[in-house]
Amino acid sequence: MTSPTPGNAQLLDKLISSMDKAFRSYRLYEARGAQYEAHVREMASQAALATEQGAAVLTITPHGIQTHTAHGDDSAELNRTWFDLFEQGARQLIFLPGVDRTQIREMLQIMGGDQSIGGEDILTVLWRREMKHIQVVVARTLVRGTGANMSTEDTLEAQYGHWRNILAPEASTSDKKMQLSPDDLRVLAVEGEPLLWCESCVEPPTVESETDLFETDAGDISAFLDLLAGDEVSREECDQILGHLIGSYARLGLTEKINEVMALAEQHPALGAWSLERMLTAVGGIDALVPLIESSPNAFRDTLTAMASTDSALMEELLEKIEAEAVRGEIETLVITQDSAPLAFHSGRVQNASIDEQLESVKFLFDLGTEEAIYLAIEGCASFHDEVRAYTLTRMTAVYEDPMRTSMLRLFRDTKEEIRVQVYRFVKKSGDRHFLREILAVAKDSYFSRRSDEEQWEVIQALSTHGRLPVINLFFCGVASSGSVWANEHLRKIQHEAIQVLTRFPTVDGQHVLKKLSRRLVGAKDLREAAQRALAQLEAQTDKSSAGGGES
Amino acid sequence: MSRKQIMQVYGAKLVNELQVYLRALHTHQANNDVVKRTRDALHSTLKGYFDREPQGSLQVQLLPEETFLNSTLLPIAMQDFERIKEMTAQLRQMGVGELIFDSAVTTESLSVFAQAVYGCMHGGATIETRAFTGIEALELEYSSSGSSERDAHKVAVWLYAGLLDGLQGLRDLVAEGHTPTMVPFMRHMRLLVDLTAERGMVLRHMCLARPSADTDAEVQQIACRTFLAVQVGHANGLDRSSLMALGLSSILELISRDSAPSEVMTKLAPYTSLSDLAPKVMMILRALELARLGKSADRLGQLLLLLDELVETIHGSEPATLEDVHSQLGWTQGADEEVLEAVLGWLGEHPVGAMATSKRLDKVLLYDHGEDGETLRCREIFDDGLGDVVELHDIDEAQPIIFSGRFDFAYTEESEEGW
Repeated sequence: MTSPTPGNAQLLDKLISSMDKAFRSYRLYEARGAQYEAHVREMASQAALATEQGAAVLTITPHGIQTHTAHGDDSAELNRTWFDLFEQGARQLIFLPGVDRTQIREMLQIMGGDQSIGGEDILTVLWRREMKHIQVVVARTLVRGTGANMSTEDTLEAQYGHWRNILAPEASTSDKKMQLSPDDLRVLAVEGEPLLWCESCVEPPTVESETDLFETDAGDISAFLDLLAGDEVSREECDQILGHLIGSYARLGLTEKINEVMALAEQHPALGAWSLERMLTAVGGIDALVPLIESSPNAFRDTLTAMASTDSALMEELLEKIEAEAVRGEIETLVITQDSAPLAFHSGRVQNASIDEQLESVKFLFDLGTEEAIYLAIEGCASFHDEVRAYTLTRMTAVYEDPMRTSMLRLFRDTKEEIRVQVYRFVKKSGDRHFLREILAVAKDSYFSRRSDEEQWEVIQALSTHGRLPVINLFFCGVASSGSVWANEHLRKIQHEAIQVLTRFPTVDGQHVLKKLSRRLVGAKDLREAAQRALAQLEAQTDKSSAGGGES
Repeated sequence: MSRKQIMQVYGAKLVNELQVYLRALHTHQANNDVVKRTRDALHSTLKGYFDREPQGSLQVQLLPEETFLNSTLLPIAMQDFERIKEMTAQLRQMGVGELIFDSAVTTESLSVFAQAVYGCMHGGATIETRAFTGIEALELEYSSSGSSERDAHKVAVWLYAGLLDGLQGLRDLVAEGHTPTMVPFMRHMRLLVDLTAERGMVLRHMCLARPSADTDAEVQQIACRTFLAVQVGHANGLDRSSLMALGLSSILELISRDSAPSEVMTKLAPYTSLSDLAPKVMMILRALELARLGKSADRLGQLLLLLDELVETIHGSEPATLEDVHSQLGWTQGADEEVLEAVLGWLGEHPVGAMATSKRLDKVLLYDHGEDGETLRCREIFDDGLGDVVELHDIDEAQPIIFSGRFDFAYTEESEEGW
């Protein structure tokens, strides 16, 4: 190992500093929240920077961690974690190129977590994890005094006593007399140096073995749960084993394992009593799970899905505790499936997914037919895709109610003419007063003339159908009388329609306009004649009704 | 504060006072007032402990960068570290690495000890008297396999001997109604797995040696099987967690043995310190019991079964031949052919650690496969030890290969040729 250059040493110092911050943050914020996230990111960045040119080697001392060139600050309070690691034999922490945020989180979880509950030392946990880009170098220093004044028996008893003490500290000390054969390895080890003759044997070159001979189901959680659920263990033992197992997974940050065991136990018919809530208690409560979920929501897909389908209140509680908006969104997407929560699933797709998925979801929700589903479906009115808005409108018009007005209004003002036209036709058909007023406003707007002839005609048609309404009738009075000699064919068509309206829905004002129009000397002749025909028709109708009235 | 933490705080104080006392001897004689004041402070600290623990003792072990008090590593503060390191180096020059105090220690005995240290310090000699009233000044041997490959065999021996003690402790504690923690065994397995990767050949020699006939057979067998399981598992590509689970299974078989497969989980349920390894360990041991009944079982269980047979065969009353081993394992019910081949393949045609007959040299210990990993090498067996390491090309195949290695072959310094 070569000594780092001053530049590298600076990078290592920055890495140590960021690691220190991340550890403090882990404990202070219980591994969650924006500040913790920021520190994790910073550490990951510093690790990437320090490993850009090769491995970053940090030396572990009883006083903390140090670079090759400089000792860390001598703080009054010893860094307990580093001391523990040193005590357990760790001497170097090595970051290799490729280290990422996930591994940083894993490391923090192992080293920052409360291992005292589980008992297994940090070093063994780190060692077992076999992290690809974070390694710990261990110096296995074994110490043995010569024990000049101790007999072999005393030494053997002391060694046995030491083991008893570490295996069961609560047990009373033993006064067991060790009577071992003179050629027992323990006796030989105390009295001399057995196996010294084989110290020079040569190790064969290392050959990576790639056999799947022992890739068996001994580690298969599903098979294990089957055994637990069977009649080999009592209910209490099952509870104890499962509780401790989930708890240890949580302590070690084995998110995928937690997910696997929780999801499988929840679904297991014979483990039905193991509700998610109970498993969460075993983990240490929902609060203990939140940091793990926040760090890796994907790893909890199955658990969260099960949670969403079986205990929505619990799910809501969990979501409330998730602080990061992005993570919350991710979880919502993860847990909501068509089977577990169809409304949420399709509602989410209406706003986020591709055109086909949106169309499928809008259709699904309308087809469900429930009030809730329909109101979720009309969110399609806000879709980015024209086709989805058009389809939503088609389905909405069939079930239109006043509370849908806002969505309809959005389409009424849609950027696409085709969609606006569809709304006009709906209004024409339904006679919705609110939208008639809106359409009337459109028709009166100075920009109306800029709309296409087709759209203008649809607007006029919608209004003319309901020309009996006084304001609309009055509007057509204006239209009919507004003609000029320069009016084009389209405008004349509209004026003809206005004359028709005034004929179909006669009013005093209307008749006055028709008379005026029939006598007009300038303007289109066909309009004058149409007005004259309309008046004649109205007079005939009046006579007929007068005669009918006389008879009656 | 835990007992350990209390010991650490006390230990740091004690070692500092010891350093101040011995440091004073650099410039003053042992009977100087300055030295006496530091001596009294040290004695007061020692007395404080022995007033509470009159039967106890304080064992201070000084290593170059580590200091232990009663096997507890002391958190020496940064500002004191260099001074303690200097004291350690100075005592080491005098041949002292370990100081043991008991309640008999007095200010007078401390002065006598200081006088001896003063003499060595200024005369550059090794301390002659090692026992004083209430004080012992002993040599300290320590080994780190990471730093020296040649020392690895010591680590291997201590690991094996430690496991024997651990197994005995486990058995006794369970019989007394305790549920021991598995954490110390987990650390042990970590060291074993690492050592297997670095010095598997030494472990192989150790496992294939025959223990004495009148030793605790059960514990010897389990320890040997555990070491073998990790080695065979490692050779077959098991990852660290699986190797640890396999080793722990072998150890816990001490508790679950003679159980029906259906009882294994109940017996192991209280061992919550197995942590996330619990499912794997339980299932391996259940598989072992199934395999013992000749039933279909997981292969890791089968492996333990075969290794159990192997150990029983080579630890039998008479030294077993390779043929005996093949025959015994071949007859074992409940193991797949592939698992059997894995075990026999690991042993090899000429198992290192066993004895063969050379046409030229007569009885030889199969030693290793040389630097290239392919050239079989041996050491001739004499009455008074082993010969040099030589290549072996003339095995007398007509003579049996026998598992009769010993831990205590006399050590003879090899000639340069051997290296």
